Amino acid sequence: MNLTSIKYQRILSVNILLLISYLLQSCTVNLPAVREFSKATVASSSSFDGLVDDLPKSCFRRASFTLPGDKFLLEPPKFELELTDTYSNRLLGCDKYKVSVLGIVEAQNVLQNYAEALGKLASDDVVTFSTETAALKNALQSIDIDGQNPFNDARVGATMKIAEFIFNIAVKGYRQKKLKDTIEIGNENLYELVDGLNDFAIIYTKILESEKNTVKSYQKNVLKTEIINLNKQIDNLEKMGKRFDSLVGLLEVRRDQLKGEVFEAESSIILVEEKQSGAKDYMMILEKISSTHKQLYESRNDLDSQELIDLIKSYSQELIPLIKNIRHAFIEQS
Amino acid sequence: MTQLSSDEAQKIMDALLKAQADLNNLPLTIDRTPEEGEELHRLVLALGDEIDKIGNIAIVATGEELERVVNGLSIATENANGAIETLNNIRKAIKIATALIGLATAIASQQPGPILSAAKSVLNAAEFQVEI
Repeated sequence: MNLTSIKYQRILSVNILLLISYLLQSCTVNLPAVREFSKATVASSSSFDGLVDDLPKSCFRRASFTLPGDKFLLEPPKFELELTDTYSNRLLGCDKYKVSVLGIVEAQNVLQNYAEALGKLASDDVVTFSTETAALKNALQSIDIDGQNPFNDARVGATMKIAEFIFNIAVKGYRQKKLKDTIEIGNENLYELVDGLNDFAIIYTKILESEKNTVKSYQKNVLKTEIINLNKQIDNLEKMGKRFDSLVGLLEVRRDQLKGEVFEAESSIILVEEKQSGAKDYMMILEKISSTHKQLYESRNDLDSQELIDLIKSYSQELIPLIKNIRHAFIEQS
Repeated sequence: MTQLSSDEAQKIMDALLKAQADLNNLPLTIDRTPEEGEELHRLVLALGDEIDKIGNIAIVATGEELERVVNGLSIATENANGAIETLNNIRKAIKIATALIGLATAIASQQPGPILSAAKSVLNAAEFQVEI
């Protein structure tokens, strides 16, 4: 065999490999709509954790507006600070919310993993999934927000079905051929999962409302009332002559301090209102995920249609300001 | 026997949250001492604690009894809210807030009798003569 022949054979081998590779690739379809749905949904769900983490934080913030005299008992003879029963129970109640946060975060992870799986399958990649399903079930069933669990048995079941399905396709290394089945499983179960998250948001919104009412009460009934009272005292002392100037000065210092606290309370109210707005956006995103997924399911036999591509594009655009608002409301200011 | 629906429980919770918010709407022109202001704040906070406990209430009663409870709660919270909006005396606000805490505690007990009795106390505090 001469050199030319060896060279020819190598070129032929490379060409055959390229052809095989091309043929393999041509078995899969480019599905930009599914990939875009996946990308936008993952981006939105990754902004949710701050909101869920705020559940116990809101409760603790509200408890912090307990009047100083109602927080601690001065126990003689040691005069050590001891929490009053009311304040202690309030803090314990807030602490209990932390267990529920784990369950809600796990549910959100399933939503995010599902969206990620759709994107991977659409790109003909293998799916990864690391959630332990037994722990997931336990976390969902352990949610207890003052006796309320937005994940009833049907919702736990639906969330588990999605998780187990993704786990299965990850283990078996399925690719694009399983995409349609995945969307069908999603259609059967995703809406229950989303409804659970939505109900959590309703509970959280009420907790925020109570926090806002409490801050407003502190601002008005405690701080502003004391300022009015100080103003009256200052007026009376001023009428009594210059000999009370130093006392007037002291009262004015206290009044200025209280005015600063009124301003701080106002900032706290604004932050709570931003969180309330973030919670509304969260619910809006969940609604959009559900309705867009329904469209995806209805188009499951024609996933590369231009109509679906356009619809997902607008879904993606609509999510951007909502995600931005949620990130702004829950970015480490709490 | 019938059970209070989850929607009805949420409506009760919303009505009490509105009452809690309304207690903050009393104008500062209504005379109050700092002690009275603190007392009112303490009640607003305590009302929040009790409201937290009623999201999952499942009152079970006969259909007629449950209807009386739902109706009574609606009348009591609506009249309390109406009374708070037109109050001109801080002691009255404190009286209504105290009665609302009693109502929220009774709701959490899920017993129709104590709920109706607490609803009547709210109406008395709000100085309304309505039969429930």
